[in-house]
Amino acid sequence: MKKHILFILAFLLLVSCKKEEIKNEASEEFPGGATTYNNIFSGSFEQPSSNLNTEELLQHNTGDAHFSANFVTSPAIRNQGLGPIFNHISCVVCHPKNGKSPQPFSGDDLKGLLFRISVPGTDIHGGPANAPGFGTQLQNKANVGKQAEASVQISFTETSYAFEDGTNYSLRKPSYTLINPYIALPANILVSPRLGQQVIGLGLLEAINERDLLAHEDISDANGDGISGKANKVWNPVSNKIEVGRFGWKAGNPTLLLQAAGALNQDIGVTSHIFPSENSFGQTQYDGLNDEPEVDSQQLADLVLYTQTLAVPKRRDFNNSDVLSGKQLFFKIGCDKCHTQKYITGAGVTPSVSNQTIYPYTDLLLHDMGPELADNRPDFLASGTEWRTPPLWGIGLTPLVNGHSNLLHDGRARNILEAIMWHGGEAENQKIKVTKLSKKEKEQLVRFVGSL
Amino acid sequence: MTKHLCYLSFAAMIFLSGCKKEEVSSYSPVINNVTDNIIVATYIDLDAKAQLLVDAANALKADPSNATKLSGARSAWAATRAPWESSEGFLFGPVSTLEIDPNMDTWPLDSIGVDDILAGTDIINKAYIDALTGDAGTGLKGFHAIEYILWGSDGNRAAGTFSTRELDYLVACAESLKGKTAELKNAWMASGDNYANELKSRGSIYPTEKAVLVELTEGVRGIAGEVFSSKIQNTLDGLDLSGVSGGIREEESRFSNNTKTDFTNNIISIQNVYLGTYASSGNGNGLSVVVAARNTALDIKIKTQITEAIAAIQAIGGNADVTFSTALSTNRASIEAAQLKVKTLETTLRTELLILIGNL
Repeated sequence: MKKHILFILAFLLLVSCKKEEIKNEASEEFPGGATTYNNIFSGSFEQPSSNLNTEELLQHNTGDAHFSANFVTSPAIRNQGLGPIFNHISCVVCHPKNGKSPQPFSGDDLKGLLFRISVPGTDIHGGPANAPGFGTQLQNKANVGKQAEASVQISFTETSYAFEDGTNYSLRKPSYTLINPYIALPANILVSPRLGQQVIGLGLLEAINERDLLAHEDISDANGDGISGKANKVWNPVSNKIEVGRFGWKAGNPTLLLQAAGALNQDIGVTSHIFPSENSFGQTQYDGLNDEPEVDSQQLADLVLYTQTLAVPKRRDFNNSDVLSGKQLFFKIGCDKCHTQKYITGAGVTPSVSNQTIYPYTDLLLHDMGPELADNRPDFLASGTEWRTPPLWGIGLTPLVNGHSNLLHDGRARNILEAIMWHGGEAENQKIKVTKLSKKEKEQLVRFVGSL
Repeated sequence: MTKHLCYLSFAAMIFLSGCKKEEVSSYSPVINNVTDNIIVATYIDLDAKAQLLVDAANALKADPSNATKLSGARSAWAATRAPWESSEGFLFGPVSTLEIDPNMDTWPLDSIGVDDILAGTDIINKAYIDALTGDAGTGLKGFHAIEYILWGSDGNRAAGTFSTRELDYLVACAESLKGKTAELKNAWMASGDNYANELKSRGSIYPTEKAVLVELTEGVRGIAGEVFSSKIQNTLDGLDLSGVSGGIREEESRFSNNTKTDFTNNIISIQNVYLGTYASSGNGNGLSVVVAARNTALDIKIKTQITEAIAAIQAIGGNADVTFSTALSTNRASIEAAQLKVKTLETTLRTELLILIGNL
């Protein structure tokens, strides 16, 4: 017994006599506020928010069925409206288990990757200009008897770099070539790869007050910290106005209604009252069926509510000492300048997302990430080198949920550390600071990010 | 300040050291048994049965007017289906992340698409079926494509009515299915990619034993939920984005009238993980062991509810001979009764078992 006390005493003195500790607020354990789901398992992204009432839960479940429905060619008894040209037949292919799609290796199976396209210039609202004959998105699949717009070839270039501690890392850059187009491609076509993103916490992000989002803007870098976040301002065809965008890799969608309706239309070929025109209208693949809209407004509303009411999983090990050290590094390096830690949401479409203290680690603003990550395809106010800060909540669960750890807009980063090392442009200084960390510090930083 | 903190914690620790922390025993007997003797054993069985299905499909193709060969192929299909449906209580890991599930068991079947292929001139072989990947392809293959050929959409195909292309399609789909079951087995086995090791030893996927138990619990809870709220419910009210009631069209194994067996096996999947037994293997170390040590009443309740759910599914239609399809028109109440039993089980798993495991 004495021996134990002595040991405990020595340990405790050591522990309590070390430097000032980083603390967590208790609420940080629940990044989604009252929506947070407390069990960590492979289905943690598929749970309804924990604070739904009975009617909301019912509607959530109805929307869930739409989200996982497989659409088929019209006419059909069930889920008709697929195509004539499309990328996938269901939401879940790009959003497997509501998580992240893995990176594709071959154009034969693009997994959750699709390509936004355009030509230089803008449309009447200031957005991407249609690539004539192809539109603003490439549909690489078609119904029987129709021609897909084009296929894709993928190749990779891998480059090695060194950290200051002498260890190496390598970055693998994909490049994409469009092949077998059904008609000649416009010579100046712009192509942007976009991998399906996780579907958790979106209702909470939608409920962040616009003024809180705009408060982080610093377009001219007035404070001289190297960070110049900018809100994207995009066309909303429902309200017929330009509004702040917050969803999508370049913050191209202001609301989840437009996100879902747009995805149904462009990715699956399914029309709704929001986008009643087939993506193939005016092209040879158009089916001329006049069965628009292929989903009705209630079904669309149910689907949108589903995406608004998905729980964010609880933090893992948030008080672990390495995680806390990593947190300290995260803030010291300045990652939080774009990956803004915390908000209190305003009034949302459902009470479940309203007035919640949330920790998404994103400012939802556009930032220049440097030439290596650029897609060179402007999108409203987003330039060819700018991307929206993605939220970091749930990032550490991708291996459990999806069996891989691909990150960034086309999944090129194979893990969190690689994703950090791709940071350039406004984040170049932060990236350089990470290269100077010791091996242990890098591990702590990654561990912290993985705990979110 | 630091000095004071040191003395304070010293004092606190002396005080606290008198109170011994509760010993937490390892759950590895449960984890190891469920992983090896339930999960991996089910996948091994599935792969073996899939080979027999390939053999039976080839036998039918060689002698397509032979009613015995047809019934042999149908039995082989049902025998392969059983371990698959019995695996739905643990639909996590490679079956999901390697997209094996959609390549084996997509529903609804795109029967129009299958008919188009049969009417066309594409060469049909395993490679062709394998290449039907991703979403547009998975609806054309798997269990239900095989079922569709063997039984027809009305369930009454006779021997001697198969075209050459249909037989080619049958064999190719069976071979493709066998490829998937081998992939799944290999993903878990120590001789392959050893996903079993992720559960049995502590790594980044399941850093704690409790995390594995949570996954297992969510798995059994999930299939119970899917059976009552989706598989059965869809047949009762016909979920259809076009607003047309589906009813019988939603019934997943209606061509073969295997639906009651499917649902029974889904609940048996829960039973296997809970009791730690699978057919004649498993040593009894299942979730029940963890529960019984803490709450014997809950343990008995779960066991009872599992048994009652199975019995109620078997009793759909009033007796074992009545098919699910028939019961949809003649005895809807028996379907609702079974649904309620499964829902009750799911409620217990979600509100009581999950809490208990969450508090470990």
